[in-house]
Amino acid sequence: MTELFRRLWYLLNRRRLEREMADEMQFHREQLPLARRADFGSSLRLIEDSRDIWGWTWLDRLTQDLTYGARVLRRSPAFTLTALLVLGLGIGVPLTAFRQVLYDLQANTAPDPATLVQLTRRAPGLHITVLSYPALEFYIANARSFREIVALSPPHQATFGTAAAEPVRILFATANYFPEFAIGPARGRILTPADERADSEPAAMIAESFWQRRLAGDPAILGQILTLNGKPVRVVGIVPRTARLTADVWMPLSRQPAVVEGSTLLTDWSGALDVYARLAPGVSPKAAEQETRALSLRLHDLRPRDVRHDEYLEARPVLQFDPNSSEFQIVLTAAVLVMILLVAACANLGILVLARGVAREREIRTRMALGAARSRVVRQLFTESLLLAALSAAAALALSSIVLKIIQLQRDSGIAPNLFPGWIVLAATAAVAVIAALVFGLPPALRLTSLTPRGGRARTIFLGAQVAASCLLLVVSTLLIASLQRLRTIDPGFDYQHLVWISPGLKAHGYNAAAAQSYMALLRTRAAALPAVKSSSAVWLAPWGDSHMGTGWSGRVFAGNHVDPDFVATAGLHLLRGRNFRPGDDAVTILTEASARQLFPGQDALGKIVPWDPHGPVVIGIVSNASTTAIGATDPLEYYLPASRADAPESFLLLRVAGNPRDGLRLLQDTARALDLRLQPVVHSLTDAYDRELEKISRALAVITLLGTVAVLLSAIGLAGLAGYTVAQRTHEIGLRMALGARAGQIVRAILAPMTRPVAVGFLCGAIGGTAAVKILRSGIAGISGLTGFDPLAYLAALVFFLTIVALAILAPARRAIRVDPAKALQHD
Amino acid sequence: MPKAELVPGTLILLVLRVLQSGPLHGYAIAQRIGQLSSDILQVEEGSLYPALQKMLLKGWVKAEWELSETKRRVRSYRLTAAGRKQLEAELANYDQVNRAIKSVLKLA
Repeated sequence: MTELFRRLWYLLNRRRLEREMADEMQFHREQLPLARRADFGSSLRLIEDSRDIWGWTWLDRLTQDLTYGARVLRRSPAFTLTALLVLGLGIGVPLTAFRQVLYDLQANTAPDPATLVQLTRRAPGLHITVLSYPALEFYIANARSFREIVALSPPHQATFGTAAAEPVRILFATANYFPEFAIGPARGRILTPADERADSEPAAMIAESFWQRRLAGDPAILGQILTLNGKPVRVVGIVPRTARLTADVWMPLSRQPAVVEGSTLLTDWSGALDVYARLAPGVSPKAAEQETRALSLRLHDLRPRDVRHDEYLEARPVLQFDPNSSEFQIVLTAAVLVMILLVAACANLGILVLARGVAREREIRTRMALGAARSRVVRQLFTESLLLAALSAAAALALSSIVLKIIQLQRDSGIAPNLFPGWIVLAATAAVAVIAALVFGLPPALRLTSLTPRGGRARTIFLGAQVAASCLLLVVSTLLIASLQRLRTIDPGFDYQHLVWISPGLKAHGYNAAAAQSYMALLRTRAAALPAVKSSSAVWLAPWGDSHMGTGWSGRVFAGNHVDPDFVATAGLHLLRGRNFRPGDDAVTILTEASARQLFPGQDALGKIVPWDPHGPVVIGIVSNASTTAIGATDPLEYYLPASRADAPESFLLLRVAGNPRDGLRLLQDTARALDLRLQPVVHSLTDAYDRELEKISRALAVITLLGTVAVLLSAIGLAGLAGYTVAQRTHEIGLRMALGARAGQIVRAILAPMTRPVAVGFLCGAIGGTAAVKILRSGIAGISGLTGFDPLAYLAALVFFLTIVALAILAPARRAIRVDPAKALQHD
Repeated sequence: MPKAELVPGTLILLVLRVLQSGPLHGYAIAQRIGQLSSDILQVEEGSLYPALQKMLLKGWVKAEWELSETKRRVRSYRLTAAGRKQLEAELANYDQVNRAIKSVLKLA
């Protein structure tokens, strides 16, 4: 430790100490008899030796190498800029992806995620992702496995203000939601258990974005009263912006009735709350599930109609890297693809460095002839590469910050991922830069200082790897683009363009089944009176909406819905066989063709009972394939059950309209509201939902296109650079060949001969690897398995395009080669 | 008078030993070693100064600027506590090696 300190002290006082040593030796020399003075040796040499002892020689050499490297790079700006472009993209693209993923992860992080679980209702053949408030209260009171249970209502559409009421989204949450998910107040305080008491004044937190947008960032807002749904609510705090918090207002769950008139949330056994829990110390999710099994049985005794006897709560850790989840696989695949891009960039730059090094051969040979050790020259060349990598990494950081900024503007979420890289990002960038420099800089340095002439396979390997990686990326991106393009034109199987749904939100306002049914009947009559409305149907879940019902059977998920007899006609489905629902139907179901084939392969589904429940409904009809629950399924596994009276409070009204569905939205909303002024009905057109989905696809398309473009660009730069250097380097030889009567074709062939094999091998590897990669993507990722298979036309197009680029990149320098004037070329040199 | 090369590794030991009796500058160190060995051992300047630097780095000696008898500024080296300890260790080591060599020479 003290030795290190002495070394540092030496470094800091180096100039003085070395001067002193020189003085000291000068004195010594003067004391010696004249004859012996020559024995003393060179003081400079001795000072250098002592520098070695203090261990700072490497720093001197590094400074020297850096200065030299910087000079070399400055002197060849074309090479430096090309290299910066290649490696900047090669590092920048993966870096951007990494930062985006990192940001998404961080935005979704709750403290100690391992003990945070989501609770969902499970039983054989049953999976319900939500719990009712009374059930929640029961589990809070009795479950010992959980330290805290957090519940969130789905966002509630409310009005804000008095005169011209505007819509706002309120999220009702238990007060422990804020600490458990680490949501602190930007100002004021968070909601507390005291705010949950029925006799407390209704309190709310508001979103920072809402505060700035609607309340002009009024600093005096804390403690003031807002009017929500016409009810006074006191603002106690402001919720900071983050990616996952999308509501405008937060209120205690138990105080929902204070702003939703007629709410029965607190007593309703069919309520729908998202429930999370903190496991008690030392309790595993499995153990917690065991406890809920016993509790659910007790709950079943209390409410046999609402809770099944074989139910339990599944406790699934929220932040679990499930290697089978499609998100994880997509992220993994993307990571591999961008890493291949990095490999391509490194190989590419390796070629350029090597090619340029060959031109510098004379310089290197001279230095070695003057006594520079091979290790010294290698170190010098490598320092140059390191400098290049560092510059590229800086460019990549800037690039990724710009791209993230653009993404942020595109998303328009007003939430900024930190544009200034944190230490994780900086460390990762530095590590990647060093690795890249090792890959692209070290082999050329070793090759160029090697004394065996023309040995080494560095160039072949670089060239092959570069072509293979670029070709693979181009193939993968082209095939993905082709599939996504097809997804855009997928026919959902029904005419969605003239469909609109109304969600009156009856349940939130305490409608019971009978009241809801009469409201829905009245709404249908009123709607039918509008000239644009052609037909209507009451459905339990909105088509392409946020809520889903599903049943798993033999590894596939069948999406369900409760619908009335008018659904088939209104949605525009075609009844192929059997019959439609009739009023009063029970224990029957209608399947899509795809479902029928999947559930009853090779049999007639009509008259059979669905296989997942022995007391289940009988199949009475089969409709044409239509994907009404999710967008983009090519094989829509759907089934429909008759809507019952009990569904009415949660029902949506699906309407088929003439003309542009967006035109009548306001009128429909007013119509629905006119029947009960307390309601805040939500109206949506399916076209909008479809467009939103298309936008997502377009964004994915843009990213993949970018990846493919960068890959091709890299390839072109690398090959053109290599061919260009080769021609420049062999001008003399070309001139000689020409003078001896070689034809243009022969010259081009002679020059390109060493490139042909690696390019051909790389191309084949890329072409085959690309199809393999897409196959893995399709089999591995459930999310894109819907993308129908391999498109031979797109594949061929990609290969032809790639070959064209390769040919163009190589042929431009080749043209220069055949234009060489033999007379001049031979004079040269 | 025949001159002998220093046995490798003993230079530091000798320097530590001559500094035990008081601080000396570089030239004086070389002189003293020569004198004490009746001019048989001659210290190469080329190894003395790097050796002194190494001893500075290890903290065995400290260097200070002083005026010499001839009123010139000279840098003299003073043994530190760590240097004394090192001297003892090297002496012990040297004795051991010496004895071992002698016994081999006697018996072989």
